[in-house]
Amino acid sequence: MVANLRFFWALLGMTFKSATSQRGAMLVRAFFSVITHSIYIPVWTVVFSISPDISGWTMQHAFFAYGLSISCWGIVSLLAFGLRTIPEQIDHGEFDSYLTLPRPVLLSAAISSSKNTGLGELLFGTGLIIFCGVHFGMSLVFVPLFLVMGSVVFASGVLLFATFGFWLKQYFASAEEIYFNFSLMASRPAPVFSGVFKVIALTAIPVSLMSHVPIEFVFTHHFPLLGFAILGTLAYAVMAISFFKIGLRHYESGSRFGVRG
Amino acid sequence: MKTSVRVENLHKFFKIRKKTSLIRSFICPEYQQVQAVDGIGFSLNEGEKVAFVGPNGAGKSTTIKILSGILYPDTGLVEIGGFTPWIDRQKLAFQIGTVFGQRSQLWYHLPAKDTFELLSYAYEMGRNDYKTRVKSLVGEFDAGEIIEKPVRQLSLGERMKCEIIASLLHRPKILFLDEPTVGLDVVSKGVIRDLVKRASDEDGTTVLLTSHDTGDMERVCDRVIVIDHGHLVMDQPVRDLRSGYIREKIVHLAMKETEIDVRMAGVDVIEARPHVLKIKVDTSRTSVEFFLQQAMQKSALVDITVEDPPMEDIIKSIYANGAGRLASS
Repeated sequence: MVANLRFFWALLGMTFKSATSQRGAMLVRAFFSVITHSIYIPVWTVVFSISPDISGWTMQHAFFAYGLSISCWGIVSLLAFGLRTIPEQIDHGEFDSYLTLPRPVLLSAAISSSKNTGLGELLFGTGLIIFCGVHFGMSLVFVPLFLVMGSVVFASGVLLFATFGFWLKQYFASAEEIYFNFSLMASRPAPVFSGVFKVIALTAIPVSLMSHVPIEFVFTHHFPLLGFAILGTLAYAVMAISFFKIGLRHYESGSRFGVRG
Repeated sequence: MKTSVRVENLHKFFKIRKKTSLIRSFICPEYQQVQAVDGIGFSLNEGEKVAFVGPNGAGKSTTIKILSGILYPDTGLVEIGGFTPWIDRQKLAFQIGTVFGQRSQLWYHLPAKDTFELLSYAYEMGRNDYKTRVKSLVGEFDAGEIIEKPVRQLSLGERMKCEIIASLLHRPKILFLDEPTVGLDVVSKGVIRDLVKRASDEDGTTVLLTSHDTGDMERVCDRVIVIDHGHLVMDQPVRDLRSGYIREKIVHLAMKETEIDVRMAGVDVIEARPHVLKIKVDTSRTSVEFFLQQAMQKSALVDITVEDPPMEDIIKSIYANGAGRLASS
């Protein structure tokens, strides 16, 4: 366990060192990432100026949900971008390097790359959360816990869908589409999800665990909700990891030597 | 001598899509099973250096990937240092080093020394042990300057030196090398071969090396295993390949006479120029000694050279009739 922690700490250091070796590109992408997400502020402002209450959701709910979901997206992009590229890594046979090391494959694959837009997303998301705390007087005590839980849910969701790459080739673009929708759904107001969609948002694509349930807890302080979110997060993570382990048995490696496509 | 690697009746299938029309393949794809490894079995003793050769698609890389824990076989037994690769992958990883010529374990934007440091944590090396080991390997491989440069700036030969240092860092008992000299120039190939051989000789590392270059086999290995279509075709010492498999010798004669008549059973003239003959002798029909005696009776020979056909021809010949030959032997 200690040896694994030492290795993963060193791996994380290498990943950041590699990502920041192109410092200019990193700063530019982080900056434009903040700009892109800032566009949502006037959008929400206009929407809630027309209708200040959407089935119980107000602007503070929307800002807080967006801040949480985009922060989690940023954390996963920064610390575990490798999860998002699993289908590509499978197609290119890049798991060979992880499989010949005496360390867990999944964590090695996850931590081995970092996306520099993640910094912008994390900065923007946490900025929005802090704005909610200051401007709307919302309690931020549980925010660190929500960020950890939300990142685990998002990482697990990404892992679950990425794992299909062991069976489906050239699946990278499709997987990216799913991850994007995952983040998009998490930032949308909870009342949008009703009926079947609510079930989906709590099970297969549990975006509600990332934002809707934590937000309800912040406003109600109903602790069983928090317990439900924690248990749901853990169950989803266990399911995703188990599915990955099954997929790994189907890894076919491959020879990608000077070829296209 | 202790057995280091034991492989028995190894099988591995891959499912591939059948060739049909584009539309049919999209709507209703059909699949077929291709047998990449078909009942291969062999064992390696500690410290042995073995070449694992075969034509493209023979199953070499698939076998090495199964042995190193990357792929799961469909059936068969593999035991490496008491471990089964696909079950005890993490424990086995401490015992083996791998170099894949077509894939890098180095970080593209960072100097190789950073990768070495990361690997030292993966293999739980003490800081002092790691520093001593890197210093020793870098000195041996004359790689002091190249490990400081970002990997993207290295030539293929320099990169391969770093790959081999990375694979030897933790003093593996077994080294799997999959085409380590692919794409290298003649000088770099020679350097890599010598380094692998020396490292193995010094530490007693068992080496299993796949390559299409017979030079790798001759310069590094003591034994050769030939496979084709997933089957084992031949397994014997490299030195016996020439004497045991090839029944031909090439004889160069330089003589005072402009030309001489050397016609006899089992002798073919390959090249005839004034005062020079190049002859192929089929040793199963005529011994070289007998041929030379006959030639000397007809001419005052100035110079005689007897050589084996190039190893490449031997391997080609084994690929061409390997299976039948093995069965008959």
